[in-house]
Amino acid sequence: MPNQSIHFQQAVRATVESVRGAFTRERDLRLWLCDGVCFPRRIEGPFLLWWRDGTSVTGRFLPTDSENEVRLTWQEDGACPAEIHVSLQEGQEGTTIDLTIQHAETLPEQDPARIRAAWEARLLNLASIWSMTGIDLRIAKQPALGLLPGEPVPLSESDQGFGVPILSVIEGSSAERANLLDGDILLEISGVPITAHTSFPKALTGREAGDTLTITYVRNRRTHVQEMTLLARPPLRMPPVPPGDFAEEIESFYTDFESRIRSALATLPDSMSTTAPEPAAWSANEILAHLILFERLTHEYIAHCRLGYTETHMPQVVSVPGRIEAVMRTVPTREALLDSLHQSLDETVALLRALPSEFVSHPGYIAMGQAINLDQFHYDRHVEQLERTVQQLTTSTPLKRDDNT
Amino acid sequence: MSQHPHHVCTRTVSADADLLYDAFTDRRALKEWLASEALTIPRAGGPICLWWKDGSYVQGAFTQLAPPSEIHIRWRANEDLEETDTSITLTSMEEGVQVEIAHSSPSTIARFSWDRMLDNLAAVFGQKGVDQRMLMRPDGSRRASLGFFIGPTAPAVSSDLPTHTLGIRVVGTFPETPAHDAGLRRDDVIVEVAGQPVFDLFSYSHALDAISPGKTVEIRRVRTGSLDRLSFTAGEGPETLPLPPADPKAFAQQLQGMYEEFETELDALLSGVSDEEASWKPHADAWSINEVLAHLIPFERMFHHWMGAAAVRFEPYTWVEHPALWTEGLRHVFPTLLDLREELRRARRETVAYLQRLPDDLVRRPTYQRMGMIILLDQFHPRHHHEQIKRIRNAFKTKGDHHRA
Repeated sequence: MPNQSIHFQQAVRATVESVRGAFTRERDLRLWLCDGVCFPRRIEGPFLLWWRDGTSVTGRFLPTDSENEVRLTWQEDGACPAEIHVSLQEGQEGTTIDLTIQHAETLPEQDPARIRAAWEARLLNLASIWSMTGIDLRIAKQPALGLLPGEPVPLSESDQGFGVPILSVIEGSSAERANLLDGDILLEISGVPITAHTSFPKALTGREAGDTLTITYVRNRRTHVQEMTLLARPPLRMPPVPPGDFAEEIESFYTDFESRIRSALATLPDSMSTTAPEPAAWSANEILAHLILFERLTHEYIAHCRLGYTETHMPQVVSVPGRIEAVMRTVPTREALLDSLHQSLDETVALLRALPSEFVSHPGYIAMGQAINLDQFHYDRHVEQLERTVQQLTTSTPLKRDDNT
Repeated sequence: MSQHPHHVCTRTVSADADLLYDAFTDRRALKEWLASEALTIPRAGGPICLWWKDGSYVQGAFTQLAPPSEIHIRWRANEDLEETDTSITLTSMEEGVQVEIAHSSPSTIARFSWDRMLDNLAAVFGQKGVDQRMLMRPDGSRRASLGFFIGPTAPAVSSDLPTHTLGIRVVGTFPETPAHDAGLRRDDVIVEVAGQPVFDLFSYSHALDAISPGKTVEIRRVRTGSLDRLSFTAGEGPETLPLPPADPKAFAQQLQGMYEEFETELDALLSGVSDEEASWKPHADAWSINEVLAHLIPFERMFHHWMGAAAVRFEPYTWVEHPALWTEGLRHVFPTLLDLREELRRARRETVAYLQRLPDDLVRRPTYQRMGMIILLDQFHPRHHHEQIKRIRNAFKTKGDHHRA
């Protein structure tokens, strides 16, 4: 069945060994191909790849004679089973990938074109990421709203259930251009109800930069409808090489972050450090404990990235009830918490400085650095939260949000 | 449907119906009693893939899910060409939940020893006991024990082995065991046990399954570049393993007692250690006392993070096997013996404080038993490092004697 075999070729500026990893290692597969990958760490075994849109592929690695070859079976949801053969050749500028897909059955007429387009895009993305550009073409082509969503809130005065408040509008983004503000509660985007974080991918499915969306949101208890032109996602900030420079960059951000924290707390009497401004809100000390836990997660994330795993950067695990209390039990005062936070931040810097060169030359370093850079939004948010908390606690009247309309 | 169910297997298990539903659908819960690794996306059409340490696996998809009472799967074992439809029905009865498993054809999956597997389901989920796979071989007889502790995967470098051969590092041997007497020592890298290649926990555990207690076992190990064979008599594995008290507060108290003993031992061991001695290394690749302490701190942090992740059902697949990756950061932030000692004490208090507040939903799951068991079994770990500190101190003293002489 010669017509059922589809062949691709792609040059990549990286070593054969590194490109081989792109097809066989858990972390590396996530970097260019899929959103999740699971396989027991054995070659010649089964694997499962999955994507955020809910699609998945199962297959298994097959034995090969050479270190320059990878063979695997490939079964997409409801599609014809296939076998993939990857051959890696050392070239002048790096590695040439020859990838052949052999289908077990005759394909329906439109399938070869779809498969060809999908694999060309995937291999191009591999080439982009393995050339250390820091550009993931899957994300680079996506439009972005440019806002950080908060936890969904019940809409007391309507029967629609839940809305998602905006924690922070990102500078220069689609959301800022559309004059959306922190605190606005999103209800609907072009007909898609926004009730949870998972609503956003649904609202953006099939959208491109330049498209116009209709945003329905609540501001000051009034519902507004607003047009928004979608802009492309801005490129993620790259970590500099060598990592010592990156460590220095992060250190200077942390120094500034710590001084903002300290000045936010300057007017709060020590006795009010454990007082929450509202029943469901965190006290100043709880915010500090959360930041310490978050930083420890970053330490673990760096260790995981060095070893080749990426699954565990899960900020939600540090907000688990009980963990913050456990920190506060053992670091009991505000001053002790601030010291401990300083140590935790310092530890991150030391870990970055100590990154080994074999890791730094792998695309995993770029992805890790981009993720750590992206976390700066998280710190900014908590500085704002701390400022709000102090203001609420030190003024006699409850805080009202500014009405800018 | 005209299919005649084959090999129907039923068992009544006294556990909550929602937990038993998870036992068949949640990738983490599936690992607690059935498979070595499990990968699922539990929705109709979502994939399911189970893998066992002997290399066998099943792959397929959920065809229909009706929580918490019905699970339908269409899957195929690696040895089979035909798919099997398996239906799992959970019926709440007075004495518990009746679990019924029926298969559409007499396939490999239908011939699995479901009786024994359901025994384990009842042991783990019903009686909240020890996972029987840790005590028994697949034929139901007692497992062997070889008398040493295995550590992380490590490269096995020897001219007698292919390049890139992996093995497992021995992190300690019990004195007066056949393995110790045969000459096995800490830092040896084992590449084969009873004819089976070993390179991680799964392959080691699989190799152990083939060994009868009391019989001679042969291993191949690498020490400083040379490969050799050792033969010794395999011991008998434990009859049971320690489980945590059902109430996590009682467990916290038990652990606190354990930690107090460790702290007392450490205080005695470290009395009179100068800063010079604390940072002295017996040789270039060995740890100083400070580094040993910097290794024990992330050990506690791993517990915090692990229990926190499990509480939100995000227990990661993989644990960082190299807590040493943290030491660089910790040594920077806690430069003196006193600092490290204080932080270790604090980290242990945090473990106890978090255990006291462990969320109920985690405590009712088998994850809690397994974690508690591992924490209790890990008692050997600090003691192992206490011995190490003793050795370092003796070496330091001898060095001093040399100087004086």
